[in-house]
Amino acid sequence: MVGLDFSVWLRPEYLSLLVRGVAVTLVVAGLSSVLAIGLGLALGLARTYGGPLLRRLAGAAIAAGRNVPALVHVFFWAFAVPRLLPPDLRREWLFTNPLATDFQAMTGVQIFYAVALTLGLAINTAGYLAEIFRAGWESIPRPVLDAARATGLGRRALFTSILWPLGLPVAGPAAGNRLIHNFKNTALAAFLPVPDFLSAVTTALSDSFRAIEFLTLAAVFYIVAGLILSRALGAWEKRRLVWQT
Amino acid sequence: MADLIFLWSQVPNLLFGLPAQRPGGLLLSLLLLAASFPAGMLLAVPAAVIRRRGETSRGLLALIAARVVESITTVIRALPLVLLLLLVALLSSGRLAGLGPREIPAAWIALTLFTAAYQIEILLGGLRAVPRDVIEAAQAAGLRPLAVLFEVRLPIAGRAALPALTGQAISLFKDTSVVLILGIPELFTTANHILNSGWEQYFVGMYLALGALYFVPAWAIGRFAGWLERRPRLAGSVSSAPALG
Repeated sequence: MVGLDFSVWLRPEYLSLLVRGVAVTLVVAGLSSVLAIGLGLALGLARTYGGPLLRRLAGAAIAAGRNVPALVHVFFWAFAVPRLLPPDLRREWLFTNPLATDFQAMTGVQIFYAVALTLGLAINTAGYLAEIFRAGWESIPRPVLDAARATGLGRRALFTSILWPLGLPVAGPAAGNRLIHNFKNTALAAFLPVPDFLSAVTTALSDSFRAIEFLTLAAVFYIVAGLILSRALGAWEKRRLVWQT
Repeated sequence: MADLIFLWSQVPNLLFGLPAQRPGGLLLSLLLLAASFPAGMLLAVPAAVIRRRGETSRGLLALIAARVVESITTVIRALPLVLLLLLVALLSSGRLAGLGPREIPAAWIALTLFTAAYQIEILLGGLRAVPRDVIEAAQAAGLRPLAVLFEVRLPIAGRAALPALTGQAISLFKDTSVVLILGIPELFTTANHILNSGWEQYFVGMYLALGALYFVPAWAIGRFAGWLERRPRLAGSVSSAPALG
């Protein structure tokens, strides 16, 4: 292979693109993770401790979140939902409203598609997290729960003192793995006009025709990020989850 | 109402692909699943055995082989599937534009590698779950190491790994939606293609149908897995290992 030139990574015109890509990836991953945890907790609680109707509804929502591919979720919010609005309202509310135009001027990111991506990822991950949390709570010994209820512990205290700390050993590692998977799913932004890291890489490589150099860079980025995240998860597990009888 | 009529008319296309692109649609998604999952297992079983051997043996060759396999597995698992697809497509066809059904073999290779990386972890867990006394009993009965591997360790590990493996199969089925990036006419690509060729007003209905078309096979595989696990011969508990003599 003639002339592989790995210094293309550092050329100014590409560097800013790539750096912005990293930022977008991190922001989308972070926001969707936080949302997913919140939504997952709500759905999990509804599914585990709710009345019959609530359990059914939550179960359906969780199934919809998990059994439908993440990409379909993202496309649903990015392309299907806007079409519920008539074209002019759609443009006005979603794409040319003041917030969107300001945001785009500042960052070059179309906020609507970024939000759609975040929402789609969050809902998909929340489905998995809800089941993971449920497994954690169901692993708590019955006598502990009964004793807590018998002492008159209110629902909020029940959650913060019993469910969360005692569910964490079982749910923590699986939830952490799922969130790492969520981070990798940010690459689905390649299908939207959202400039995440992978999109930046594909833009750079089609501009410079240096596919091998840039794809290698992309691979290195995700490998390093993955290693950092799983090491961090492992360290957190060791610290927070050493038993605790 | 027009929605339902339109969707109903498109069902054959969604299931089998657009006329010019058959096999496509859900059929192609299932074909990709059926081709990648077993191929992945073919790679994963020897790799998992090698890694397990590296855990229990003192031999330098075993240790090095295990570390090599582990590194490759870690690298593949860290990459988003989108990136892996692009890499394989680039390596096989030398370009990243004008991709289409000719890239199906590349997609198959990428999906196979991707699922194998996860299958290795699952099988490794299964191999670790084989109790030492059973292995020693087999050795005491005079079985040579290779026979111990095939007659004792792999069957027990396989049963232990069955639940996680079916989860991985479901996951792989949903991941076939990502081959959209290579322009391969499976279910998701076909649906988008239909919508983008002028049927924009049916977006929401189509996506709901899409969700259902992914949901049903995924749920069916899950139920099949539950049935498999409940069959007495295949129950995951190690005590159902075949009696030795």
